[in-house]
Amino acid sequence: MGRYLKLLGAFFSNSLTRDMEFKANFFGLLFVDFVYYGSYLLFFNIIFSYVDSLLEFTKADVMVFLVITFLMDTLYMFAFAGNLGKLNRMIVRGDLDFVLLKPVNSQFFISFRYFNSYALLSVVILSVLLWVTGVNSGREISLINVGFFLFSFGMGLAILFSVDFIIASLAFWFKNFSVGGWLSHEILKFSSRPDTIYTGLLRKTMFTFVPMALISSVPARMLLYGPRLDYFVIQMIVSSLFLVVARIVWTRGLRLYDSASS
Amino acid sequence: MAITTANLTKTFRIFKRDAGLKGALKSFFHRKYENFTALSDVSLEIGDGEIVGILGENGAGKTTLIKLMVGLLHPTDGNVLINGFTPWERKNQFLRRISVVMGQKNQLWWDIPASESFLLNQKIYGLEDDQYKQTLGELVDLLGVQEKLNVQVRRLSLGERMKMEIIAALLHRPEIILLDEPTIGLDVIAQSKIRDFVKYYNEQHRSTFLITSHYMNDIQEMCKRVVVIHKGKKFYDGNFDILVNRVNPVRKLTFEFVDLPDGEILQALQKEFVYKLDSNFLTAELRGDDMNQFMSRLFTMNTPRSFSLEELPVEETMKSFFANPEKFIKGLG
Repeated sequence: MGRYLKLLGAFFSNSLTRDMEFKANFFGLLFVDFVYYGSYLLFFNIIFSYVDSLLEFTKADVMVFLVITFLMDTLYMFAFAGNLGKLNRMIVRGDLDFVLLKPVNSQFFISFRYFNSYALLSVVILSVLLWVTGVNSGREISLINVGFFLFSFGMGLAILFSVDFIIASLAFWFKNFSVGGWLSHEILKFSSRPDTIYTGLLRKTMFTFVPMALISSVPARMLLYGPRLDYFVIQMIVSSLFLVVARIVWTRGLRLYDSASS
Repeated sequence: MAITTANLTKTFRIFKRDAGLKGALKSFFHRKYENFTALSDVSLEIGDGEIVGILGENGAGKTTLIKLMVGLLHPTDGNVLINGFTPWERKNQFLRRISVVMGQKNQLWWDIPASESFLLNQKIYGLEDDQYKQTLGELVDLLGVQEKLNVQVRRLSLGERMKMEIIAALLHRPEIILLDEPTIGLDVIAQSKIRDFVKYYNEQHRSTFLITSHYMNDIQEMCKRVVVIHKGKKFYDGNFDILVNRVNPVRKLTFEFVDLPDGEILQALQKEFVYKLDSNFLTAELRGDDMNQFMSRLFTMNTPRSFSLEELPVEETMKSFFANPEKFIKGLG
């Protein structure tokens, strides 16, 4: 465990050194992120100029939900996006070779090798923004809420990672699955809307097979409305299941890896 | 044995289609696959501390063999044992004992200095600071790249980059090192530096080296033993000099007379041997025993002002070998 923490530190240090080589790119990426978040906030502000609430989610609740979504997205960008986004290309071109030759768990290596260090600044800004929107939501947010929120948020991140990882790993079977990035992007879009907008079968799907509601909505509910055991248990089962499936897909996929030619 | 392979076979399923738009459309609806055997029934035994060259044309199966040996590929049939480990199980203890340098692939991070990637490798292999510094110092001195350590990899020349790749691969002091085209694209000085380094490192650390290269000078200088792979099969496993001599036993003699012998003597000599005479310079290209007899005759009749005896260039020799390998291999085993 200690060795892997040290490795995470080394990966981050390498990534930061690399990112600081290109100052304009560093701040440019930060700027693009906030333009993206701004457009979402504007979109929901327009919606709330016509309605007062989305079922039990008030405008203030939705603002908290959105910041949680942004935070989730930014943490994902920080830790995983720079890695899983390259997976298809690495499989096609045989660039996994050097990953597989290292005495480190290959799934860990491929998932954390490159950090997008600029996103850490976004994480800090969004954490402050979450505090502010939480305080202004008018809800009573206890320490228990915060504790459950943090657990729930971690499980949401695990689901987000697993979904993207599983889709990216399909490149082992399809040999070139560049569309995988778009596919996960489109699926994950469902997680950036409050779960209250989904009804019927779609809602059930979002809480189980395509568990997009478990990524940001459930953590937001834990923070705003307090712990809900049923949601918490579902999240634990689904996140564990998705992590196991991601592991199986990876190990099976590696058997198909043909390393391209020299 | 450091490396043992038994009846190693690797077959790839490859997608085939005709050229052009019509072929693309046809294959879009009806895919044709073919099994391509990249390696067939290869058995080898390589001892500790050996330097073995793997020779073969493009697509012969050299890189497939190396990738099977390090566990990047699973074999279709057969087995490999590397210091007692099955490579494709990818156990950490195994991965700590081997290293691969691929001339056409990089493990170093492009945008940061190589020294940063070395530090990362220190963490990956869990090397103690003292051991890391000592190994790094030794490798940097041997390869003469002290001043380039803190330069971004993308700003290094090809030769400097390859030296850094070699350092990254050897920091953890692997017992078995596989070099796949380590000198590809390098100038002669850089090639020579890398060859000298491999020989020195092998002598000092008794590491086992397996080398593929299209530059025959690499093989000639570094490897006594070669394994020739032809169309996926082991074609020859033995001494490189014997192979070269078998392919082209001709040597070239240049003999400068102080005074030309009588015309009659020269005419008599011409009946027995083929040579050319240009003023005082005699040149001849003859096989082993013929050359020995010819030289003995020349030296008894005359003392030369100068003379030289050359092997024909090994690159040329091996070119003719690969044009028709079956012709030369019979009886060599």
